[in-house]
Amino acid sequence: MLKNIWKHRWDYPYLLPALGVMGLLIVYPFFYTIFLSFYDTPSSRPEIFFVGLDNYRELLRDETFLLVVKNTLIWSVFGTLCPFLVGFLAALLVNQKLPGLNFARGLMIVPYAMGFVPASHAWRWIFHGDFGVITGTLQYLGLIKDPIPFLQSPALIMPSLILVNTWKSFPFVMIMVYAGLQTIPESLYKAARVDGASAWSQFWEITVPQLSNVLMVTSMLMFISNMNQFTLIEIMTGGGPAYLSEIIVTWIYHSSFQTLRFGLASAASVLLFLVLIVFSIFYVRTLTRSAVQG
Amino acid sequence: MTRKQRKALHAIVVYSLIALLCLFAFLPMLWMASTSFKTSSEQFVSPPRWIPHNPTFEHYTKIFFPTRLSSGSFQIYFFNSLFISFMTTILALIVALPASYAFSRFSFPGKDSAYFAVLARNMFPLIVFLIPLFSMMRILGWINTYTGLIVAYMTFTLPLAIWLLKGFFDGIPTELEKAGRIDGCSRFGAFMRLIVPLTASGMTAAGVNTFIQAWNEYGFARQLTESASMRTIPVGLAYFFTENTSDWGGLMASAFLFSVPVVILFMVIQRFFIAALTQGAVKQ
Amino acid sequence: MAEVSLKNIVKTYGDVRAVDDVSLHIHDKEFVTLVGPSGCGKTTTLHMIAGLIDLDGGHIFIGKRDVSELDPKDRDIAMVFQNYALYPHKSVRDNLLFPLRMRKIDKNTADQRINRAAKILSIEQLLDRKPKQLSGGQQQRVALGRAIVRDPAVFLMDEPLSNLDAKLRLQMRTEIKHLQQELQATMIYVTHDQIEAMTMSDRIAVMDKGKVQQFGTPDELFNHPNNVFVAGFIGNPPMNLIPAQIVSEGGDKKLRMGQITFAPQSARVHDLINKAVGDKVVVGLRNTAIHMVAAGTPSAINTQVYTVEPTGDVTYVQANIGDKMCTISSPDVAYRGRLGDPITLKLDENRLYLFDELTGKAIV
Repeated sequence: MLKNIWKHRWDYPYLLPALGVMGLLIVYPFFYTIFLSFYDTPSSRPEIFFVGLDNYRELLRDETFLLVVKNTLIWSVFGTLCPFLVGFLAALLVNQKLPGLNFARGLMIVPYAMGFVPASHAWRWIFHGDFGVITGTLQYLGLIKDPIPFLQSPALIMPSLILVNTWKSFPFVMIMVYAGLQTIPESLYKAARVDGASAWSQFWEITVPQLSNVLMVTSMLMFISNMNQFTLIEIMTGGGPAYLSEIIVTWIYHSSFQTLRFGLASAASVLLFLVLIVFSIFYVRTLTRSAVQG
Repeated sequence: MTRKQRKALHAIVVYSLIALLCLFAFLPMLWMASTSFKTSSEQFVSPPRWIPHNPTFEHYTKIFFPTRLSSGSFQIYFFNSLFISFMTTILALIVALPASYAFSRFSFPGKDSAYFAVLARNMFPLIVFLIPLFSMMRILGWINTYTGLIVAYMTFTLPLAIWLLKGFFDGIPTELEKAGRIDGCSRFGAFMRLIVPLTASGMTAAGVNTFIQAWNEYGFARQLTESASMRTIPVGLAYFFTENTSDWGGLMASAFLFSVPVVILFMVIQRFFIAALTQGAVKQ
Repeated sequence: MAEVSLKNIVKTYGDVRAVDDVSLHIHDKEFVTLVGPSGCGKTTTLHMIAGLIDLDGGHIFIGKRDVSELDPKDRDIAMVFQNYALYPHKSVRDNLLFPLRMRKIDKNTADQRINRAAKILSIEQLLDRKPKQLSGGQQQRVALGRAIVRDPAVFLMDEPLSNLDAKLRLQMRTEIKHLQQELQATMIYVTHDQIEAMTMSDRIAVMDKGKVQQFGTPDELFNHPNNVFVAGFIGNPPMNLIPAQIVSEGGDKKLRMGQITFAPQSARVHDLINKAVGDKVVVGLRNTAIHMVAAGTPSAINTQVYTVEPTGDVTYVQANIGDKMCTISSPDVAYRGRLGDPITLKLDENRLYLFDELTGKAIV
């Protein structure tokens, strides 16, 4: 082992700057977070106190945190499913052999290309309770009388956020699925047509099985990025009203930088790490297994 | 139905659905642009107007020619965003270039786990890193400085840059270095003289991507800056609104100005970016 | 099984006529090959028969039915693709089952047909594998199997052997021909390899630039090519085609090829020369129609060796006639001339072809 390292000693200088930066900014914070999760960090005093698993106990007993976990699940599942379906449909559409579809594909990427910050502000304005364009249009058409409080109503807040995420993320799914569709040999469809398969059968017997890998990877990446989505929710609702749109990452942010409970927030971070690590392992497994099977 | 009729029907269905999706994708942007040209009173008229009756440039004039240059003005935010994104890009590329080359070409012990660590970063939320980074920056005295933000931005830009550049190096045949070594280059010389010049497109793609990432970042910028003069645009946009009560026109104008360059940049590099994004998932 | 008729079929892509007014009549149980260089329209024609490409003009009949407007599934055809197009995620059995399932054929009949096809192709022990686990030759058999289970009116084969290595290709060539005779199938086969076409087919349609250049038995194509293209395409090595000019010397018509002036001795060649429209012609001679003879033989051509290519049972000599590099079969397999060695060649006038240089048409 040492001999092997010595043999490759001239490889490491290439990595040194990157490893230094990563160690400082990624590895150290990672372990520091785990460390801090066992401590109480009272805002009134500079010292910190070892409390063992108290932070974890508190979290699992805290009804607000359990609500936040539930919100995170709803947000991540439906925030993945909806863009996924729309993006899949978009990919199938732009994959048809008709003129002008490349151009349409370029247009549809725009929401994905836009930053989360301006997009969130734009949607905040679109959803505006009194002067929002949706409310205004529906009122004008006489379909509703009272304004729709998209971002205030407990029933509407999650669907509204998921709608924004669908708009923002469906192009990502479209890009991935479209790339996957490109790799399916045309001859498979020709063979299926000769073999008598209808368009419907071709979709289920060829397209879906051939895309299984891409669909798996895409939904996994989407799910993880939704769990980690801070900007959109923070700007649109700040987690409110009354924690109804708070998800774990925004909760961690508010607990550390607003209520200054760094230890508790770190414990939540560690729990989130664990969940994400399980996901990552699952993800890498899927990738390597499908690579082996070809 | 004949084949021709079926084809025509198919085309009609496809184009209508595409048109719907394009509208869905575009209307929010258009509404943003439309609002940015409306006077303060026209923003609130009912029914909503897609085309302003009295279009005005007042919001843009206010952004470009403020009556007085305060620390909270768009120009300052803009400069901060530009400077920080640019420096982040340079730093990330310098650090990522040799590392991604090593990941692509060498087979040193520990390579797989190190590369896994790079990729695993993308799995975790940035906000979680903010707590330790914040205390670290406080100790280093880097809170509310350009250095602090630029260094903090390495957290997410470096892994992506390494990943993108490694993909490009993987695509360059190793015979090139072998030929270079035979022709008398040192190992590092072969890298610098033969390989680096070939990665211009890769560097551009990775660089533009890094730039966009840094340009759009919100959470770090919000927490690691304190004074108005250090804010970047994403943070500043929120203040813009509170400083000028209910100035949706101003907010939309600045958000629009902020988005346009990024969308254009993204469109320019999307081919590279999409290739990198999809190669892992699609490769069989 | 059925006969197949193409009546003036046309396919255009922009300004290019990929298939230009092609008409063919293929008999029941006949093995017909479409052969030609890449881009000649042969694959497009096959895909038009399959219904995978729409016609821009003309009609296709399978049996008595006009199928021009029908979907592939309604044409009662089966097709084997160049890259086999096996469904990668399905086992061999499920690949064979797929066309039957799509036609709602009951399970028992389907099993019977699959077992029969597997037996014919000896792939019984592979039925539970995935295509990726099979060798190229095995995949080829499965692709054939998927066509056989259908029991179609016509088999369409799109360069099915081009992905196999040379040895396997020879073996599968024999097997496909045998299969066609065993099944008494009408088979339309596309290839760019003229040897494949010659060895397998009852009749061959040579295509170039979207048109059928000649449609006939292998013997007809080899011995009576319609035009320069067919002459140059069919046969291995290809026919030597030497540009020539008809000149009159002392009232006698001769052929000038480069610096060489060749005076034909036979009435046959004189007759051909007299039929020529202009004075520009192309002389066609197979490698076996040029003989190496002793120096000083009358009305022979003197030239030099360029290279000698022994292949084992034949030795080819390359040498210039006029300005044209020609391939000649050496009468002596052991002949090993070197660059520049003088040789004397006599042209076999009974097997000399003459083509009009302008139209390319054979003069007969």
